[in-house]
Amino acid sequence: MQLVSGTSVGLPAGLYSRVSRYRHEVFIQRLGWNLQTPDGVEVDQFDREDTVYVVAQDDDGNIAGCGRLLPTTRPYLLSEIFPQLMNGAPPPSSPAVWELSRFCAVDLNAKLSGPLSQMVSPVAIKIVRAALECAAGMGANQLITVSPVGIERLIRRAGLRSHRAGPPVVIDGHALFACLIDVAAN
Amino acid sequence: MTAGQELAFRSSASSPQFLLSSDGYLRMTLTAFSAVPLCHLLTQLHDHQHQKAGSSDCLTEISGYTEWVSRTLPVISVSWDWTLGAVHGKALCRREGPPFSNIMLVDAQSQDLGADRTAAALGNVIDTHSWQAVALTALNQIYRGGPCQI
Repeated sequence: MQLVSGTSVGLPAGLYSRVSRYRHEVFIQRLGWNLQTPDGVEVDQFDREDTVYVVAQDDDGNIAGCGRLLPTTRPYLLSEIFPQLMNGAPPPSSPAVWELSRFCAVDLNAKLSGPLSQMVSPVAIKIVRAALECAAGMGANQLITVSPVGIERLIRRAGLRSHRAGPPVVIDGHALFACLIDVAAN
Repeated sequence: MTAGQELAFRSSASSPQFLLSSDGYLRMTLTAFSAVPLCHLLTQLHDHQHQKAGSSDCLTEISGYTEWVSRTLPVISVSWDWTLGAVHGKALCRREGPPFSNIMLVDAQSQDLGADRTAAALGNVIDTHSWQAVALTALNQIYRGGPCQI
């Protein structure tokens, strides 16, 4: 398993476009997210020049998971789409807080691997750890992520610390909440 | 949400005061937490149980999580995992593991107790109350007619 991180131009050649296709397969085709995306790729307004990606590849080079880091000093997923998850508080806007989004760890080649299995995946834990390390290198002391409640179990199993920014809200049939992951403690 | 789904940790004519910190925590004493009635928000099976329930597997123990919230603003959010199994022929639903929450308990000097002590203390309070019937009733309503209809 190899983990790499960087902006779209900083990743190894061709990897960013493969990530966007991987995300399409995971989020659009498997999880059924209703997003307006170009054919075969999943990108949105938060895939910018300053967006940092964390990508896991297996020994054959297949993408096994990914995550996206955004500074909260510019528009990000939670601040623009899910501010209601903040329990009445304004979404963070600080160089010390980065957002983790589009986090997934699905082996597209595994016959029995369903999207629900990613919350028990060792790859998912590796991606979270890599995201924490990457964010720490950019000055973060906290990650925030809009996630299903399963991420709390994943984080606890990994021996990491997190807490809720507010209660879960059922959106499109999924209970989502804002999860704060302490970079320094982890 | 009905009155029957309210988990009255303790009756209170007035809600205790607590503030939402910039780190996302609601800081309060254990006494303040215990005084806030919590209402049932949702109870679900864990995702892997959804997958099993959709198959022909026979489950000897099921597990899930339950979410409770306060009616205060900011909202207290507490969740815990549970398992439902059989002990001596009787069904037993019990909490599993420390709860998840947005609370940081503080002592009388307003010093943080820390995440571990907070979770342990919240768990102890939860265990003094009968949340099981509300949670399982909610679960039963979801799965009425069989989990395959989800």
